[in-house]
Amino acid sequence: MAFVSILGTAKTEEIQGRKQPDFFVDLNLDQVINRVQKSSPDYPVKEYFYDFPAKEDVEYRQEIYSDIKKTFLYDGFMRFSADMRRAADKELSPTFSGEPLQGACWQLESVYFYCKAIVELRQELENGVAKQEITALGLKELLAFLDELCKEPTFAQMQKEAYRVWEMLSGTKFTLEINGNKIRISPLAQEGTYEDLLTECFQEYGVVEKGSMHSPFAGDLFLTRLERRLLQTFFTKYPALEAEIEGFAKEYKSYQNPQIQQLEKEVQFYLSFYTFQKEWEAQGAVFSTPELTEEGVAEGLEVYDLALACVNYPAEKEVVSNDFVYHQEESFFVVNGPNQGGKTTFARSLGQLVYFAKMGLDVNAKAAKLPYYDRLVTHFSVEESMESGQGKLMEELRRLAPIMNKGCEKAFVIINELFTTAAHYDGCIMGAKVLDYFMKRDCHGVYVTHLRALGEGTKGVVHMSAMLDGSDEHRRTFKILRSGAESSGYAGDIIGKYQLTYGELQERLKDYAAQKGGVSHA
Amino acid sequence: MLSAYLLYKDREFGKADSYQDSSGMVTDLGLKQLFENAAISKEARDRKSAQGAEQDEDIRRAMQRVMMTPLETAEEIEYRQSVLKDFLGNPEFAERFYGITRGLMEQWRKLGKKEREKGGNTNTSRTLLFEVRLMNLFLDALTDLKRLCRGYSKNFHSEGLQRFCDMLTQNYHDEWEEKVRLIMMDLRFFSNDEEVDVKHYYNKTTQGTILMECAPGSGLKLGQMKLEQIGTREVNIGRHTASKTMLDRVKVVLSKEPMTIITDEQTLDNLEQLKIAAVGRVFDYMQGFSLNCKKFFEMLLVQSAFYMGCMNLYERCRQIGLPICYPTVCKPEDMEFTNLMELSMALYNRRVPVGNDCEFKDKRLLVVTGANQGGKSTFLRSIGIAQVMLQSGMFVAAKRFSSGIFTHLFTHFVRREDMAMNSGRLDEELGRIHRIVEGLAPESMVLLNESFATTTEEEGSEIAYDIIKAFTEAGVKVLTVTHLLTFAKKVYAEGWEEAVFLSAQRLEDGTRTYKMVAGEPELTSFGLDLYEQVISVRE
Repeated sequence: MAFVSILGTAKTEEIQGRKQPDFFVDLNLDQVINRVQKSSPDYPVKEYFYDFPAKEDVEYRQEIYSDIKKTFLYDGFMRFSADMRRAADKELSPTFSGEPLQGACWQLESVYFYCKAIVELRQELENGVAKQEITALGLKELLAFLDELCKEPTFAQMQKEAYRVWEMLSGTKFTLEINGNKIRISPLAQEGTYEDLLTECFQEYGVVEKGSMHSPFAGDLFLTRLERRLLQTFFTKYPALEAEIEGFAKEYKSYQNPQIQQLEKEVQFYLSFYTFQKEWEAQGAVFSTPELTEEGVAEGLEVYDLALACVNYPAEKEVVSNDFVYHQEESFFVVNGPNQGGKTTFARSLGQLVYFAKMGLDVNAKAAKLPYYDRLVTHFSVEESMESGQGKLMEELRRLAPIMNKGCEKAFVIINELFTTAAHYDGCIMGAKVLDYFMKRDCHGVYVTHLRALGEGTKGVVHMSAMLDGSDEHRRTFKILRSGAESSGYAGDIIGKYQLTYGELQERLKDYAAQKGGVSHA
Repeated sequence: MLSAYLLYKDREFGKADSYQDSSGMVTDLGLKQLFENAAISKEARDRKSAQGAEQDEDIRRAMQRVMMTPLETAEEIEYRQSVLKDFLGNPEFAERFYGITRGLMEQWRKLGKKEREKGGNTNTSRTLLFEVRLMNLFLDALTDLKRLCRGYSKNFHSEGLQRFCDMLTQNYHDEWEEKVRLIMMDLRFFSNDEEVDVKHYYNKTTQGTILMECAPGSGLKLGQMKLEQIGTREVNIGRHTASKTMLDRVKVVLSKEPMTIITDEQTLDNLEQLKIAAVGRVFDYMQGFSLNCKKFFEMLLVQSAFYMGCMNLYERCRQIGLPICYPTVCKPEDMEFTNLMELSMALYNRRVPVGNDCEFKDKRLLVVTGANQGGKSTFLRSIGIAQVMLQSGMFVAAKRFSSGIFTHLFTHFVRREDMAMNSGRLDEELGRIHRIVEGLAPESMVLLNESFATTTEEEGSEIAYDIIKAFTEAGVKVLTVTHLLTFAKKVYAEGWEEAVFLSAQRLEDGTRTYKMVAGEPELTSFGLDLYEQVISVRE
């Protein structure tokens, strides 16, 4: 199969005009993707996160993503991007600069970096495949495509010339002498330099990369007064160079293959997310590649709300994670518990998990196993003060209708506080109907609600509850557990509250006793 | 690399864990008194009255940080004790050593340490100027330290100070220092704007001379820069003889063409930027050393301040007339001391308090009961303070003190904030026990002072019994002062092997000796004595 796109086996549509999906705001994914965009300031990547790939492309992407996470390939693609950007930066009209020669040099550079980007990426891919470090089908197809491109005679010729002239120019070194307010250019004097002396003196305290000195004028695209002055002197000394640059500019116009340009943009989907991922892994966040399964089970270990984690890690606040599992025949979690107990966070973290898995990326969990969901659907109650009474219920139903009418086979559904303004009795009946609707359609989902009785006795419904910290009834642990014995565990009595009965203490001190070899008063 | 390692043999201070709830412990054991006394030098004390004497904030902070971070092995304790002995044995050295470090820190702060740490101003030229000036301060301070150590190194017996002296002479040896100073000389044109030579009545100014390797870079701009030479030349205005001081360490063959003189302002501005870039390049190389110096002096401040504090404290103890000894480490089940005193009270009252003796072998539980106002809490505090001092490698106020190492030390005292009548007192108290349980790890010692007294005697006794039984069974060492006699008598009756009972001595006539004596817990705390005392006074 020929290479089409790094994002999927079929050609992807233009990203311009794509709209943010409805569930983005509910799941705080807009915040996450804004951060991803920030990690990749050179490209507009947001829109790539707005559409799910086709079912068969999820694995295609997963494979590519796991290869790109390897340092050599990530660096390779980052270099490719940087070179492509330099090529594009210099793709300016030669008349743009006041100096015609500078314009010609830009043209040379543009071609040089375009060729370099392609040649080096091809090399990186070839090495990776040879060493079996690249296994993704998409990347192998990309290699074949680049092979073809490099073999084209026009490309090969252009590349050769660009390399030759560029190396000649940048290889012409000279010494710049400054003495107070006087300057002079001399031929290069190569007899050891001050930097060698500094290296010798301070290498014990860290090595400085040779040739990493930055020109103070690098930020300015145009020549400064001083540079123009120096250049005049320079070309009187090296007149042949001037002719070479002008000659090249006449012969070769910068040209870019549209598929390469598309690749440059699309690969940012992976690069930006991985840059983001690495940033947060360094702060302690955990990501993993989800296992895709055909069975009717779904489970996740230490799933956390990524949007919240990005706020909590820098503030050194705890990031709460939860485990969950939908066994066979289980399809809906009904979550209740105290206010601000972490219910919504739990629901969001599951939604994010499903989202990233569907995107073919790593997920916000220590481990996860998921079936393919056709859709991801959310319904969160909007600001409670916005409307009241009848108005709000009406508004909720109006938003619910399109979700339920679109056909929701095999969806992942998150409902947060539906029907809060309805009478309790009505709320229970309507809630049960909604639940029933999705359960009949082979969906998995989370339903956060104050209605404790919702779904009681319904097969496939699992009740879960937000836990309070045993040590302080005002403190919340933000843990969500299956209800049952656990949820009724916190007693009013203080001893029980702090788990300080003799039996509880024995249990809590078990490890200590084991290490110490304790005594018994029996 | 420069390293201090005066507190630990193989690392700097700061990586180990401090006690859980160390601020609570400071309150419970009255350690603030101790930190404050340590922060007042003998001179400061002589100058003013004790209360008004000026405290050295750096010392106070260092004492608190170091003392609240326990050492973990007998070797670590011995290492620190021996360094301390060297400092105490050479007081003049100690003062000058601390003086150099402190002096540097003051100048650093004046230069704008805080501002730099916040990273507020990233103006390259200003940042560089700061770095250059700071580097000169570092070099001077290092030279001072090196000279000081040379004079005293023969006097030292401790591994720590010997190593420190060797480290300085090796890692900052004269030859290397000379090189670095020459480099700094080369940068003078950047840091000294103008000096007036009063003797000769003319101005001297400096001028930078720089050689850079370059090649055309992107868009024909200056690129691939490399510093070949940098130096400073002195120009004497008013005389035409220019003396060249640029060091001729690098031989460069230059063209004989005449130099171009730049006159227009914009180009001169460019040239200035280029010179700053060249100085910046030198600092790229020096950055590692500079960072090392920054860390080193920050570390050294804490470490030398700690020893300085110990010295101040030592002087103070001797002045009051307290016994002083270096404690020894034994196994955790044992504890032995003679004439142990509650140091923070002694410092506060400025007189010698009653000392206590004791000797327990294979005991994990100490229950102290007895007369009110009999010195029970003082006794418990004296052990707690000595334990903390032992674990920070210090001396203690006793004739002899020997105890195990408990890196997890907890104090559970009735705290002032709990005194307020409020229904949640037991709740608060047990909340703290809960946090202690969470923090327990081998080896742990818990000091309970009048715990569980916020409920009825009966209920309190039951709680105490359950908790203390579970603790001691698991192997946690518990020292408790208690009024809960039902609890004490029950434990006594059950004959726990690992328990030992003391009570505050009360003579037949009701006199309190403030001594703890072994004995069965009695049902009364002799509060009646106090009642009679107080009431009879009224009558």
